[in-house]
Amino acid sequence: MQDSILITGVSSGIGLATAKDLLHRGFRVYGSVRRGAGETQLREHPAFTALQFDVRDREAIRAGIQRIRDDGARLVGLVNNAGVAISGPVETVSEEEYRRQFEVNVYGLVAVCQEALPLLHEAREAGFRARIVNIGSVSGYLTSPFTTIYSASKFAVEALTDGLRRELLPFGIDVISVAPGPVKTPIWRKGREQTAAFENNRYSNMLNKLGPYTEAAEADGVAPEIVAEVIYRALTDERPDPAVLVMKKGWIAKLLRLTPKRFQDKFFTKRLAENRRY
Amino acid sequence: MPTPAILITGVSSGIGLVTALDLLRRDYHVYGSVRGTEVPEELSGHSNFTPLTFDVRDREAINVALDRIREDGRPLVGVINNAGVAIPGPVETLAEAEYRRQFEVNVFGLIAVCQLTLPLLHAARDQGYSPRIVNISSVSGSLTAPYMTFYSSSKFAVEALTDGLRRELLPFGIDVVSVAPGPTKTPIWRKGSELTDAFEGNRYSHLLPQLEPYTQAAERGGVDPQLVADAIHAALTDPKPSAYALIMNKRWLARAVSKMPKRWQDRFLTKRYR
Repeated sequence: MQDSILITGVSSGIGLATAKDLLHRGFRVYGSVRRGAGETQLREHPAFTALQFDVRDREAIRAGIQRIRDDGARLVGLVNNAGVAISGPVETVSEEEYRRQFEVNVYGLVAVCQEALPLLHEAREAGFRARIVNIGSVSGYLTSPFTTIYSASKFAVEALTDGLRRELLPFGIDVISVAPGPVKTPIWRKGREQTAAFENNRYSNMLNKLGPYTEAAEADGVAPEIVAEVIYRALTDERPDPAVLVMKKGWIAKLLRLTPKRFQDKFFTKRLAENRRY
Repeated sequence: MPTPAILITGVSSGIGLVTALDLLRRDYHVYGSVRGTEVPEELSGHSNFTPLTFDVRDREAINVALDRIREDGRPLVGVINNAGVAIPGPVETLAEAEYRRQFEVNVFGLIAVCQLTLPLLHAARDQGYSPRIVNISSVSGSLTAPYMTFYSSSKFAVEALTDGLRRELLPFGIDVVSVAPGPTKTPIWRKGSELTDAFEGNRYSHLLPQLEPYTQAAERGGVDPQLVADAIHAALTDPKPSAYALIMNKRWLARAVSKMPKRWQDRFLTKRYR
């Protein structure tokens, strides 16, 4: 029997690249997509099964997991990848938007973990290595202004990763965070059209920075295939690094995190003047 | 000159109550939120204290309560986001209603209070004051102990919100800092220790007998809430306060552990349960 991996959010970006990578390596992949269409390239692959659920919908997640169970598949890995990135000043971002940020990135991740864990325990009891990989972000290490709510959700994911790993240690299920910096994916572009929080208020001077900001992040970004490779190692290495930062010049971010907060403030203010996030 | 005012959420017990009393002694006017009608006796008799009735989860109620501050006309020079809950339980088994409540109060409640009070803070700044927001975080905002993962997760989020909001408000002269206590002699965990459902009848049930002694030990070894109140006062008044103040016994140990590799942290933080 093939080892199976469940990846949430495979319609684009890191999720899609990871699904392709794991299929290529011989895994059976269950990938969640929100809309009916899905990804044609994946759909044609005999070892790929599309599950239709939004991570905000626990009933739908449950039905997806039931499908894996009905197939009799051995679930050895869960990759919590589905995520949204909402930008805007904390002062003005709408309640609906900041709630959506947490509904997807935090509650969605928790719900999928809770629903998939029985299958992971079964695989572990049958003698297989079971893993959970949470896709974090450099924004889970450091908070850049105007993506604060996104950062708060990714900080929350780092704590969930550490706590869950410590709770599952006695059971032998490892939990790891893979935290990319800017990646060549549409996540920020998708968010870019939502500029309401910057309009007609004291933050409107930021509006003309948003375009360059997004473009710089995508231009400096790593390829999603590189993140996929790190995810593969997190799923299969004997003793993987439980917190991997995947980013060009990641050492700067790691070092910055050790500096006093007021120094970090100056760094981000300067970056903002240069239309860059990190 | 009207007396400068401070808003503190959650003044019915613990850090909120002690801080309210401390700031009253220092001649501030204190607006303190309580959820029910029960205003602690020590506060209700004080002429410089005004109780506001709201739950931080209820935006509409916050907004209505703030009318009182707007009408009184005192400059609002500080907001202390103190209201919080601590919900224990394994991630795998904690009920959705419970983990949602953890974030509803500690994260969304804090954001709502910030958003609704910021116009008043901007107005005080325009009058020449240096307004501050002080977010009460926790040592759990930088280290995650097992079975307190959701609490920790909410406090990690508070740390990010503090840093981000400070960076966004820098050009406007409103400072935002966090005060992170370790275990404190307050009822926050005792309130939570009755919630044992998530440990019952499942693979985590062997932990049940450890919960109560743990809560008691945390309270015993906890810091005096007055020390936290002192740190909050410093955060409100120092010309350049520390952006992050960790207040606990053996603070160096928590700092050292948070810089260790994760696998070492794992061993250190799970020792108690082995």
